[in-house]
Amino acid sequence: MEKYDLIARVLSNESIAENVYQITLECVDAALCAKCGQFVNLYLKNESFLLPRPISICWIDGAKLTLVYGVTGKGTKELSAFEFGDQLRMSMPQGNGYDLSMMKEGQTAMLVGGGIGVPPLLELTYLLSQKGIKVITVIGFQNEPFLMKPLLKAGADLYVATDSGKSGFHGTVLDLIEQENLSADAYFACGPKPMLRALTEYVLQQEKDIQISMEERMGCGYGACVGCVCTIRDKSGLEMKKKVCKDGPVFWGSEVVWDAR
Amino acid sequence: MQDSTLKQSDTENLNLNVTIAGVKWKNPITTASGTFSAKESSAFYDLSKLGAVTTKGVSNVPWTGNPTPRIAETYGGMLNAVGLQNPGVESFITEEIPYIRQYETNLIANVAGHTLEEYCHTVKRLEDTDVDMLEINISCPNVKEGGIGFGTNAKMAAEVTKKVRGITKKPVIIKLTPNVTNISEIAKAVEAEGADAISLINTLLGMRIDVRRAKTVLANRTGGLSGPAIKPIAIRMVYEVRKVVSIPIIGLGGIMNGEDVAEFLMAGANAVAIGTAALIRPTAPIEILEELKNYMREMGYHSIKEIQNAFCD
Ligand SMILES: Cc1cc2nc3c(=O)[nH]c(=O)nc-3n(C[C@H](O)[C@H](O)[C@H](O)COP(=O)(O)OP(=O)(O)OC[C@H]3O[C@@H](n4cnc5c(N)ncnc54)[C@H](O)[C@@H]3O)c2cc1C
Ligand SMILES: Cc1cc2nc3c(=O)[nH]c(=O)nc-3n(C[C@H](O)[C@H](O)[C@H](O)COP(=O)(O)O)c2cc1C
Ligand code: FES
Repeated sequence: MEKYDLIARVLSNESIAENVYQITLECVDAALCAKCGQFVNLYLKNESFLLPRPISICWIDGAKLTLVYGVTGKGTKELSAFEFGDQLRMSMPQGNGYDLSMMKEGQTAMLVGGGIGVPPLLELTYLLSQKGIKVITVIGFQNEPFLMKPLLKAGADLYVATDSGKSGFHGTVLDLIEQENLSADAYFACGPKPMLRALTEYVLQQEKDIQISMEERMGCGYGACVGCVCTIRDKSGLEMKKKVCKDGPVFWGSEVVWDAR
Repeated sequence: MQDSTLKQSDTENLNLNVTIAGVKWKNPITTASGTFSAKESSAFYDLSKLGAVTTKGVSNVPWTGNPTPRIAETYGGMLNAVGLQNPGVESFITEEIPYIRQYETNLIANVAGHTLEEYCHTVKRLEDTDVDMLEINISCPNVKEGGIGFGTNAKMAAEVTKKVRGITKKPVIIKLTPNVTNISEIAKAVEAEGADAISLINTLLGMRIDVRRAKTVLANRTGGLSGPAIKPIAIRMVYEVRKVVSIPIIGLGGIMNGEDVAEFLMAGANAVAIGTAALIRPTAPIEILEELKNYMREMGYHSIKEIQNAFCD
């Protein structure tokens, strides 16, 4: 697959929740090549931040690429100061996205997101509903939810949980799924590791498939440094370390070995 | 890229060829082992543009490497504790070599081992393959036995060199570690045992602590420091080693642009490798090549030789 190392122009960059920003970039190649569940590598201006920041693709609209990111450290802090017209270097598309091929019209998909893992579910919600699939999107946050409106617009049957109880259901996404007795033909998830693990175990018990987006600390973000591995068990039971940036970030829940060292 | 606009004057004026241990390179730039993957890097640029490509360390059997996090950013560089995860020499032969052979460039296989026997097994296995040169990594700080152990002791460095030299006809490059007090002594020892070239430098042992969690950032605790922060050390070591050996030196450590390449050449290197820069900018190896050409034009240099060894008396 050909990849691009390009300069995108910032169209807008604004806060949509506490410490959460939405940036829209003008990027012709994005529209042509990016798939949902893939990510881009953003390269910052301050040269003391040498390594790229990987951010998932949230929404693709023509030549416009939207990303939603949390300000968790110095790099994303710098990113939050970018303004209309600024130029931002990025490389893309990175990784393998979600595999939608086995979903058929009339089926139900459940999309489960936690915190900053919610953004990639927006494009996914849209694509699945376009295919005539019923999409139940269950999202959880510590305190303040975001992206609810766009998710509804994209076709989600939306359920919201917060740890604090500030809005929506008071508890975890898994508690919410159980309480509402929600179920689906297949599951897709992105979020913190403990959430992914609990959800995967729950879904596998129901003997359903789940695809999860894994996160790992990255060096290059494109498969050159072998920095970002997670342990995967293949069908024959063989365990191996795979690159999250290249072989993932989306893996089948059934393949992931959670306690691997 | 400025490629097309500058092509004409390239062919007219600039001679970028270098010969390293009898192997002709079209330009002095290769990739640094562990920061290049033929399949992933070729998605960004044409590998045929480089003088050579150097692959990730390969061992006799697959290695699983260290636990994550394996990467940490530092001011002016990064730390890695990958631990030489690789799929082993058999997979290297069937997957990697044919893939790289589609491109017109030299192939340098970087070889890792825990023991002398492991180095020898891999070298022997590569003997009948299409690999152009071997780079023996006796300097990885992330492998407990072997690796750096061989590189910090002149006697052991000499022994690995002698053994490997004895079992292969291919040119042997020995990659040295900077984590020593007397680099010249080690360089001389490997030259005396038949090394055809030296690579300088591998990463420096470093560490980072997350003070908010009171935890080390890397799961392995310590890791190898690379990037711009280590360049002055690499330059100094190339300079020192150039004075005591006559075999070619491949200089590396923190090269970020064309002028950095010139700095290594002036210090005494015959070729250079681009490492961490390629993690930050996937196209760095070919961009740096263009910058080197621009530098040469600007300064009126016509060949790599003219830049070299400015300080060797
Ligand atoms: C495939 C992938 C997709 C991602 N998508 C998104 C996204 O859509 N939106 C979003 O907000 N974030 C996303 N992230 C996480 C994002 O990359 C990090 O939050 C960001 O790199 C932090 O940079 P910083 O300079 O602000 O933080 P730093 O100052 O480097 O670190 C601050 C904190 O962030 C954590 N952190 C740093 N790098 C990573 C990383 N690669 N993965 C996880 N945590 C990290 C550190 O542990 C630390 O606690 C994604 C990560 C991956 C691997
Ligand atoms: C992620 C990573 C992996 C590396 N793996 C290897 C390796 O397998 N074999 C080796 O000889 N050197 C390895 N190195 C060292 C580099 O080849 C190089 O010597 C070092 O990074 C210094 O150059 P730089 O500052 O340009 O990166 C690795 C470096 C990094 C950053
Ligand atoms: S981050 Fe370099 S291989 Fe994944």
